[in-house]
Amino acid sequence: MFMFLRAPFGSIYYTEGLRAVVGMMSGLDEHKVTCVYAGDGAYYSLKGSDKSESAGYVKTISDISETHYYVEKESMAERGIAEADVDEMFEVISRDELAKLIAENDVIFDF
Amino acid sequence: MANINFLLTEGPFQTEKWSTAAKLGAAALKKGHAVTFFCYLDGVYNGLSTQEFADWEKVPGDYFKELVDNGAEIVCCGICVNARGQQSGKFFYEGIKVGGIPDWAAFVGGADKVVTL
Amino acid sequence: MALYLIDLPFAKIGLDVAKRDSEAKVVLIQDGVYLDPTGIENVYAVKEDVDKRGVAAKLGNAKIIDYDDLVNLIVENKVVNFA
Repeated sequence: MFMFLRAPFGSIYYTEGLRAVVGMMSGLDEHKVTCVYAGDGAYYSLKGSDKSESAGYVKTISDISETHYYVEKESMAERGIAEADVDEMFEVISRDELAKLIAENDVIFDF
Repeated sequence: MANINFLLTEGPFQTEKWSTAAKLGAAALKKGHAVTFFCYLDGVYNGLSTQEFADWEKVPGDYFKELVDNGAEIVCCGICVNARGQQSGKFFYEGIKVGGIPDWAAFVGGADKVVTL
Repeated sequence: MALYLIDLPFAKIGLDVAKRDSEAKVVLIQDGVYLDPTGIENVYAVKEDVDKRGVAAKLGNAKIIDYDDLVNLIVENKVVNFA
């Protein structure tokens, strides 16, 4: 599981993290990946944020396998992000559900 | 014996992640564990043999050379290497390799534990 | 059992998630040793980071561990990275 915790666009992790997801899924092991946007990473879920830089990665990822992009509700609330502000590629989950995902996934990366 | 992979995304001389990673890696090798590193983003600056900093007895690159000498496998992201003008890694210590994210995916596949720094 | 590696930038969410895990072990690492460990069960702090910052006295309930100890914890537990 990839957790995107840093704010876009001050550092490049938001898009290089997705490039890493592509590579992780393309390897011989064919790893399955889940992406979670939490902490300042939640800002990336905003409808208006520029996703052009990473659009190619998102497309490649969906071509390889169905992949979920979750954004965490508590992080949204702390930052004044309403569900109506969230781009449709994201599914909103609670912090309890994030904790559950962490327990279920083998490896937890932070980007 | 375990297999531990480190993902290192920051360079030396700016934050201390290189030091934490290098020292943890060295401790793991000493205990007989297998250690791999994937250097991503500015992490690719860690393996340069051309670092100079008179204030320090040992520069970060020396620590990574020691890791390789002691059996660690270190691969740096080739796209990151060339993006940063490092010309396919020609300034790296011998044994520090240039590769791609699929190499990291293979490290992760073979690892019992993964630490990101 | 999961080992949560916590550095300062991701401490808020990292500790909050760890709180939901009854078997969590929390390791304060790098600037993470500036955090107040009061109320966190099974909490550790990395000696080299603690010594450099001179905060040993503020880490009451945290076990101070060196890199050898941390390697053992990494090997024995599932690693969750918030560092």
